Amino acid sequence: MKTNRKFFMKKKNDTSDENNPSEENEYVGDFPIVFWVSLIFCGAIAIWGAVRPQQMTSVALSTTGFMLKNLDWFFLLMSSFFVVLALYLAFGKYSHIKLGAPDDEPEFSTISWLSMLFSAGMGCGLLFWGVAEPVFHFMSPPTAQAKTAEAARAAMVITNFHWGLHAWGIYSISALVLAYFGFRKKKPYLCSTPIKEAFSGKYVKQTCYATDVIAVLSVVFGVAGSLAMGVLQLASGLTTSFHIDANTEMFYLGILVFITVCFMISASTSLDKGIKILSNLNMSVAGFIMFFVIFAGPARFILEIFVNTLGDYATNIVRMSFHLYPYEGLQSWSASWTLTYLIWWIAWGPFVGIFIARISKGRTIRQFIIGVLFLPTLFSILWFSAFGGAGFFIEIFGSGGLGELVREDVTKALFALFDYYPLTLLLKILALFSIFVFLVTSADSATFVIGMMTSHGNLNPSTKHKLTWGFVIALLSASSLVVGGIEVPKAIAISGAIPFSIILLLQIVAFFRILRTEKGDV
Amino acid sequence: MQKYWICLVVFVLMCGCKEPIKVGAKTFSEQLVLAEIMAQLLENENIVVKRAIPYGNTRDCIQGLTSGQLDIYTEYTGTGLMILGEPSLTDREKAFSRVKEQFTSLGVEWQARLGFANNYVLVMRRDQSVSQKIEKMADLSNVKNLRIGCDEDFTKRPLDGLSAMLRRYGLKTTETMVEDDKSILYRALLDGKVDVVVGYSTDGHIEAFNLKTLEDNLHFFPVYEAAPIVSKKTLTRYPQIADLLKKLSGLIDEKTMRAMNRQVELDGVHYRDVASQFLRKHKLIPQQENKKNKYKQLSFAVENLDELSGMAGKAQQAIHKVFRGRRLKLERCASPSDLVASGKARIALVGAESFFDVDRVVQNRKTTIEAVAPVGYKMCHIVMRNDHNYNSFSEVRTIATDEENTGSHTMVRVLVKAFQLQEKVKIISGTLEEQMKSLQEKKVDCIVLLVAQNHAQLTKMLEKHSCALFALDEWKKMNFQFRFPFLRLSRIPANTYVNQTTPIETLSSQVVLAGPRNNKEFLGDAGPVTAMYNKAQPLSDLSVLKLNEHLKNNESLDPILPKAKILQAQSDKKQTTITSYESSFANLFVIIAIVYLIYLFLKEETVEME
Repeated sequence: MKTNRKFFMKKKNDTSDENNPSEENEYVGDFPIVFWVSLIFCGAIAIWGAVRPQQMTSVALSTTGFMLKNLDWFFLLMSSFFVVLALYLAFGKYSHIKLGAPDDEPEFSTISWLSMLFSAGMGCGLLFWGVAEPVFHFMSPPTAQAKTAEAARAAMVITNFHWGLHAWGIYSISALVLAYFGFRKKKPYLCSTPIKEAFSGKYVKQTCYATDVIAVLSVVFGVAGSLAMGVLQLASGLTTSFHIDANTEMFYLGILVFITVCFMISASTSLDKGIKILSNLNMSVAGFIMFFVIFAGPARFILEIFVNTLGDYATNIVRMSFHLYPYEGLQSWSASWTLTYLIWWIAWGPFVGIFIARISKGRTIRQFIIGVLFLPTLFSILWFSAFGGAGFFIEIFGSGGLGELVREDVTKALFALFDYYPLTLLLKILALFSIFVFLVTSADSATFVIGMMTSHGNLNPSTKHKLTWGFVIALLSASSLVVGGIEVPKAIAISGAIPFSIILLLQIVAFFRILRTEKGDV
Repeated sequence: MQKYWICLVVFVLMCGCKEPIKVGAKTFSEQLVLAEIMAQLLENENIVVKRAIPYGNTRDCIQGLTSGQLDIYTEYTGTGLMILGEPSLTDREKAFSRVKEQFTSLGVEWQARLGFANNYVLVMRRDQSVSQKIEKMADLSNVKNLRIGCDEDFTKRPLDGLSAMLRRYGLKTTETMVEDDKSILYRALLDGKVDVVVGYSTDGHIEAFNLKTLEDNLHFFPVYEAAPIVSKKTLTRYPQIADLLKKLSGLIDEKTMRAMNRQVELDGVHYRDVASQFLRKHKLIPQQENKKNKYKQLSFAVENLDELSGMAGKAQQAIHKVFRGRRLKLERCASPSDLVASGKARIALVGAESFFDVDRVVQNRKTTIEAVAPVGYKMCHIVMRNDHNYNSFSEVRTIATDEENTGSHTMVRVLVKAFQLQEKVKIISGTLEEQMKSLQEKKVDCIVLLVAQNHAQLTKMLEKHSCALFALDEWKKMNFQFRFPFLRLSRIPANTYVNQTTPIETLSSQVVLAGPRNNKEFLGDAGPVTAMYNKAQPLSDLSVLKLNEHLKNNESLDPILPKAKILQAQSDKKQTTITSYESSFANLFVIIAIVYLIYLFLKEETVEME
């Protein structure tokens, strides 16, 4: 607590010291323009979504669908480019550069850092898709024959392609750029900072505002959507575990209020109290579930799959990184899976990027990339081997029935898998708990990040800010649950990602323009 | 710390226990139910059970038991004697004491009998037995080209099997159908593909399809009383088993067993559910239902009038095979398509008419469901009293039919529209009996039903009451093919129903299996976005193909129906032109943006860096 306060003070001084006079008036006031503009946009979109949910989603999603189908090469190339860029930064001449002053020490221990970034980056998604995605690809692979060994192999590679290096490549680059400017250059902590620092010209200011507003909107809607989804998953989990009918609006709102209260409490404490403790707790629970799934299940089979997938992934990664289906006419397959995932990660980029950047002070670029790119990928492979492997085992050697169930309703996949395990109820309760904590953590980190973005990049935004945005997020989720259009916030978040991908590239250009003024290794 | 405790407990639970009891079963449904009953009974006493349900035929099972592969399964006294090569006995008590005594030397203990005998019986269709005057098994020698259906086990029994039986009764067969799947066997019998089926007296089909069992007048088949048999080694390991199994003694009489078989074979209830239902009824396991398996259930919706002896049964069997590992639940309702559209059922048996909204004139195709496999067709039956004097359907003023939203009701609405009777006609809904009563009491002018040809309930009604089918000759003169494209001109062949000497001109509608349709295809029909819709997704391509394979028949899907994606022919796909301006524009924009970004990167520094 003490160190934190000191840190807070110091940062405040930094900002006022280092900003040149012309910029100063832009950085005053508790609630700058970005705050109000974002709030108005949120309101407008929320009203549209509440009144005409169908129209709103269909406009948002068909635009995105058009982009993904017609610009598939661009999105895939961009994501692969990020991976290459991350590798270059980790092992190239800038790898030694520290994100922070030369004598800065990491704020969090490596374990806490990893679990925080992992919780923020994947969270519920892993629990949600852990069984569902591999089994889904196994049942309907794009090119192989369904339910064959070949299909299983392909399913593991495809799943890990979606959740592995490419996902974390997007995160690590967007985080690195911000961390570099925030800690190394001591500039305000905003998505627009790199652009402002590296370019000058007529439209820079407007671009910066647009950048910040898009970033705020994509975080708000992305998190609101996840929160609504998470509430549904919790409700369906409660229904199946405790034999009560939790699929009613009252239950949804009850769960939402409970989550909101929890994350508001967590948000009103400091970073190392709330989010850190929650993330650590959560990763232990998730780790335990995974451990149980492996060792109370087909352990040998799962470990075989893990090793097998490591090899398959390593040998296929280059081909997959550039693999589209021009001849097969499978554009709609890659649009609905691969590209949707990639755009999804880009949509989360501002949020996860800023959050990871915020917790990565004092690490060198190489340490950063290894921690954000490689370790999470390795963990994902193990995770999917465990859950997907257990699913495959049931389909190939066991009683079957899981595959069609996943097809029918993906939200049931995880809980259905637990039915094949001993101590079903314990597993279900742990999973519910884990989903709950993941939700609280993401909502908490989201309010933190939006707070930063709407208060001139303050590293420790005021509680007032955080609570305002927490309330907005909760309200958006509640309305989408009541109106029955949980796809609305997600559709917005995904649509926002398309302009944001251009912004991301602009940030990278800015980053390298500044980076080349640094002294490299060689 | 707590975590370690949990780990420890799990470890102890998993490794610390004795070797599980392996419960086995032969391959037919009665055995599955009985094995499951024993398994659940043992589990209730905290004995770890490993299920080998089913395990194999009689020979496999007895070998399994003596070699230690199995610990327990249900055997029949008659079968037991046959295995030993002993002469058959028709006396229940003698047979049991004999078999009990003889098996001791094999290291197998017969437990208390369950209370029923499952004897072999020869089963025939009632109409055939009447027309060919067959009452007893000996009468079968009158049948030319006798075709027999039986399971594999029966062909392999040396003393009470197929060849022994044929020899004893002096029968000759031209064709033997060997099939382990009961439902296929009985279907073959109903379809006339075989003349006689060797069934069990506890088969649920006999009662359900009103079949004739032939008397074993030469007493060829011995008595087959069911009892669990356990290997001696197992009893020394778990001495409490004998007492536990005593609880089942005499509890299952023939009627109970037949009802349970019927549930499994015809009503599509999973044998596990049947077993736990039975145990719960007799308070042998706790009342509280274990709902943990609830969502492995698969709901299959059919209309109230669909018959399991007809298309519903055929479809059900196919679904059963395709969705291995799921519990099939039959949902009867007025409108199966609505049940699928609302997500309450996964799959439904629907007529082509349910894909259309007949009350709308244009754009009347519904998009909430899609056809996945053809099953058969339904015919429009217009039933009138024998003494009616209507020359045209347009003279009718009151029509009785099934509930609202059903296919029959839709059919009535179509007829009313076509004959422009909207203002004039009254539609009365009710059950089949009520409709027939109203017709007899002259409260209604006719009954309109859209049901399968040879619908059993309807056939019975037509036999009992003096009424006949009305031919809809007028339809072909009217120009409605475009308006109601799902209806086809058809004829009910002569002699389909009683006193029906001529073919009857009418309309038919295809019957298909339908699943949910995804009509929100913004980002394709799969992928992470689909999770957002919170709605059932279409059946997987694999299941669709397999359903078609299992339902293999001469029907192919009516091209007018919305089909599952995988069934759409290549030619159905739209041809795309070479230029797409929007696409080119978007791509051009992105390329310019990239070029501009590269320019920005290469451009000289214009900002002073500190």
